[in-house]
Amino acid sequence: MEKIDELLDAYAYEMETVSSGYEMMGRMLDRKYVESRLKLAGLSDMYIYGGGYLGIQLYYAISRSVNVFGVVDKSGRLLLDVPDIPVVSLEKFAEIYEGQNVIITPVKFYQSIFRELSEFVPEGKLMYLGEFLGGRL
Amino acid sequence: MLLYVTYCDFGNIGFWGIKKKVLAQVNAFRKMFGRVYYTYFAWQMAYLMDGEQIIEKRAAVTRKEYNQILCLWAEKYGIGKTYIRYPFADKWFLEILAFQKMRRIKTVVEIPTYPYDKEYPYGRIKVEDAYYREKIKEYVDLMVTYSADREIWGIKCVSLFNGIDIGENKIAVKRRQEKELVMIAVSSMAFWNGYERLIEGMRIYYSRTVSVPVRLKLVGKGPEENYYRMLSEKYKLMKYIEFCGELKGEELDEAYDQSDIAISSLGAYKKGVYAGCPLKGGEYCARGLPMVSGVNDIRFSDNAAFVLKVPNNAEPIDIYGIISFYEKVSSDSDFKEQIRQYAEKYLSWESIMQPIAEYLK
Repeated sequence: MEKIDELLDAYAYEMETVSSGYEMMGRMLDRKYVESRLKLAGLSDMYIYGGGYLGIQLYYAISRSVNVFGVVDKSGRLLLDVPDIPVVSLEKFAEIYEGQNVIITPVKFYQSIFRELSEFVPEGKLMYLGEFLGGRL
Repeated sequence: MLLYVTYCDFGNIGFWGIKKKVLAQVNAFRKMFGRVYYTYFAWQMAYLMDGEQIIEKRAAVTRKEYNQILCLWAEKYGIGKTYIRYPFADKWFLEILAFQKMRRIKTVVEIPTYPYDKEYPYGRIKVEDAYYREKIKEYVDLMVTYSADREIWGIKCVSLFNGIDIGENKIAVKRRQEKELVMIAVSSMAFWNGYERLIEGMRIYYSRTVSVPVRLKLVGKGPEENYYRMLSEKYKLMKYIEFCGELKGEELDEAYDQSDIAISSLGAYKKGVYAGCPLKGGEYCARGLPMVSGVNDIRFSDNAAFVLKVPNNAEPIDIYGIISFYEKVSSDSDFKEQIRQYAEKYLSWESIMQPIAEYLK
């Protein structure tokens, strides 16, 4: 029974994280909506954390409206080869960070990323992508 | 302290009506128990609220995480009782119920609509719910329903009806005038609202002798909106039907102020529901508006003069019948005040929730 429970938990986790990501990718296609959220959140200068599909999509959705200094990724690279997106490694980010807002995009590892970033980024400056796209601002 | 648990996304316009109801119930509980927090779940974020103030927020990517956070908050804030708006049952919902039972947290689960199986298409959620809901009786002793059922899934039920927060709903100011009749329908434009029946009725009306111009304000947004627009355009009724979009606060007050008669649910038959108490019926009553209802609204007796009951099926609505009904009900100069007084006397959440408060004490 325990094994079945574990299996159900694992399947549900995979399914829900994938479907959340899919929903967020779709929501970011609505530029007007994203701009309204930027206004509501009062965001201007910022970084995006996470060089995966969500981070890249978010960059394209908001970089014309606000100043995105770069996409931060632990690996220092993006998942896709996109030369016009500035990328910053986590190590470098810790050196250059100066109080900007950060939107965290990875769905699966949000909690650990949040903990890691909050060592040098004030918690009030950290926001999860889901919160930006549909949470209470 | 009482925690009102929801799994709703109150940022989504489809949940605004539900949010109004939850806040009204929270206010009623507050008068009985003092501090009451409520929760909601929006875009992978869990929110713990006190009125409009966020007490805490945490990322919760999965249902499991949301339920874990609820357990954490229950411990952190010394929650002694909970009132849960039923989500679809799943493995993690049972885990929070088990957690509460273990900690002797008294709980009541409210089922907003019952039966509800026809409300949603087949899918994973339905399958999970059908399996796990049969196990709820191991953890819950009392449920609230808005149907006439005394027992659901082997659990004793208390039947309530949907009330209204009187203070949040001003009486509509428009007085009777002969030159037009304005209907208002406020909804999340779901299939069970059935407003195509009204549009069909208007088509028939305008194809015959028109005694008085009849207009319709459709307030809200939702999955059926495009269908209603298509029908309105097809029948060349666009100058009589106004799609107002979602309205709140003063904008909603203004829409009500311009209206003579309100339209409740006309499509409840589509989900196999023939009696109930749709939220909008209480709101219309508080606004002092006579109303048309397809579902048998159990808050209003058969001889309630301000409710016109129409058949709960797919037939077009008889607009001439609505006009006659309105003429009759509005012949009394203070008809609006009388309708509102009914709401004040019978539909306040404080009186409705009293039996639940007694159980939770």
